[in-house]
Amino acid sequence: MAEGTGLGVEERPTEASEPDVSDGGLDELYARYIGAGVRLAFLLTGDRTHAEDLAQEAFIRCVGRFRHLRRPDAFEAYFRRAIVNLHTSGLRRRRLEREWLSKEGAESARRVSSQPDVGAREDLWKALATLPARQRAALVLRYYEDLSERETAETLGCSVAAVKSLVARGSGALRELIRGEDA
Amino acid sequence: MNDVEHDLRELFERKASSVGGVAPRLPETVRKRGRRRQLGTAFVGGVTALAVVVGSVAALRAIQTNADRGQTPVDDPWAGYEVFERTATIGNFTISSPSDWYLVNQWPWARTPAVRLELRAGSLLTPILLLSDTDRGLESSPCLDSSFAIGPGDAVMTLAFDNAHFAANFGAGDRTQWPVPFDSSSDAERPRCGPGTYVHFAGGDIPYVAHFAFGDAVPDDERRTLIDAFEGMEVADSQEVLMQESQPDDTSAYVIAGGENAAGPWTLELRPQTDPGYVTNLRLELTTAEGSGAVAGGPFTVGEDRPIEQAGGDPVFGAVTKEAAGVEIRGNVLLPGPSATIVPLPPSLPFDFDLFFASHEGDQPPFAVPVDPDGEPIGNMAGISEGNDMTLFDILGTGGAIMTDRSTGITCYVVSSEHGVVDGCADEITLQTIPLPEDRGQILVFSHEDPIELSGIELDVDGADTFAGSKCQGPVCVMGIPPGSGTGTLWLLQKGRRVDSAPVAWTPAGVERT
Repeated sequence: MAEGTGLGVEERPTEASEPDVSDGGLDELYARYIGAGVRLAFLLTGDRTHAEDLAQEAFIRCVGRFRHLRRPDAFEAYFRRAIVNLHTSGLRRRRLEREWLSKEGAESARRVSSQPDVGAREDLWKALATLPARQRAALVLRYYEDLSERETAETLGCSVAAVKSLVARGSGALRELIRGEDA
Repeated sequence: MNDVEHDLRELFERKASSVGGVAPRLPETVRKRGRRRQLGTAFVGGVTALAVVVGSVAALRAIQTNADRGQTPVDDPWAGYEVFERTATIGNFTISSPSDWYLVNQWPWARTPAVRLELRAGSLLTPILLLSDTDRGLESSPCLDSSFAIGPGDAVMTLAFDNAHFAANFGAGDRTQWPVPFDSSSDAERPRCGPGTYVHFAGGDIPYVAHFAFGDAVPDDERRTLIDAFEGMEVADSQEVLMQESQPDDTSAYVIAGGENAAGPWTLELRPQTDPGYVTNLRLELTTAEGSGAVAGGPFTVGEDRPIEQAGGDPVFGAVTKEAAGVEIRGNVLLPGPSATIVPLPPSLPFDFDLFFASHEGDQPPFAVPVDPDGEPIGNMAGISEGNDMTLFDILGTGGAIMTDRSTGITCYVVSSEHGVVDGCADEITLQTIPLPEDRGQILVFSHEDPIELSGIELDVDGADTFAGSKCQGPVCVMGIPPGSGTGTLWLLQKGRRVDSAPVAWTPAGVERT
């Protein structure tokens, strides 16, 4: 997976090996995965600072239980799953996100008016922020991470049918929202 | 690729690129928290892994053998627990029943390829749910298992989709539409689920069969309970449930609670955790009006060091140590809040903790707090205090430490000489004290509004040539107060300079402005 196109490694190791979680290994693990993790988290949250917090928290949780994973070589999948779960489970984050979204909504509107060439995309970005967290996560996992429906279901912890439903409903809602704004 | 998909792919690429570079160096705070978590996991995991493995084997054995032995012969797991009415939606059925009856959602499992094969050769009924006064395990059905045994005191109802009737009539045919009464003289000429009473009905174009099996010695009130649950059901007529796909590894689940939040109805289901990635035990799955299974839970590592594990926000749910007399849902960990409902695990899932759930309304993020019979929090609440904005710093003179969490606007802390002795959250703007154990003084928490921007607080102790002090962390200042009683002057500092003061007196009961 190339850089910037998903939760791939920044520098893919030459062979599949069990990551080292010693101090030095932790540094390497962090350097390898954090960038892609922040990018995924940013697409889920829309907030750069929040994304970094989310990715770091997910990293801490994955590292914490690392020795208990049955497949330590699958750190990437666990890391992705931790990011998505932390985001969708909401808890204390939701309120902050809502506050940010309301601010960002106004910001986006200002940016759109001054940059007509990217206006349509910004409308879509704004509309994306209004979707329920799991619908947004399903769209990001399918269309940014390029996961299959099965992989997306595993990451979200739901059935493939639920993924189909989430993607369909999310896409449909975006279509309606954009159509509504155009009208 | 459709239009929205194409636009989304482009948008995601562009937005992800806009994030720019991320510093690849591991921040020290992340390293420390990661190390602490590794240590915690190692400790808890070491203790629980064996229990989990032993428990999992026991659980699987119990599940596998329940069908043979009819029921799980254990003491009443609900003894000492408050029974409540549980209303839950499974497929098209919304059913209310006492919480000490076992409600099993069998629809996901009954439609797996392996079970479908059995259907072809058997009853041609696909079980949807099973309601029983005894725990029969998750994959036990009188309509699929010819050895299904009814004990003398058992009462069991199975609701099933009538495949044969649907196929013959391309729908419900002339089946009576719901609601229909329980009729013990109902047609039983095709006993596809063994002896018992059969009631046939339809919800829209979908034909169903309800099968009732009562033991010879089942009390009248239990018989009535089951019939009331049946006759009180609501049945929707959506065909969407028939179109849901199944996966080979789909399993049945205990339905432990249901309710309604702002988004619509929700159901909380419980099944053994089978995720191959983790050492796990149970899986709690929240199904909401979004129509998706929102998993939040497992592996639950509830134990002495971690008495509670909160998994959800609305509703609030999770696992809690059996030592807790209750669970309170609080917006502020220090202040009492509404009680959650505690649910014991079914006997076939022999793990040493309980489950809890509660609705949550309000703006404050919910904290589930395990409490003793006096309503006092128990344990160090490690499951609550974790967060991304914790800051750890020493408190002068106490030898302890405090963590503040400002991510929610609430000041939460864990004070400890070793690992968590005193814990809680402060109100928004307060002068508050917390006694330290073993008469080692107390902690003073002074929280204030930005933009006062205090840099610290200091206490001049009357008659002593010393003072205590602390730097403020954002809007929170914390310092140690000496043991016993005394008087002094509390100073507020801005940019390191004393700018205001107040005379104070303290006793072991707290600090007061004089």
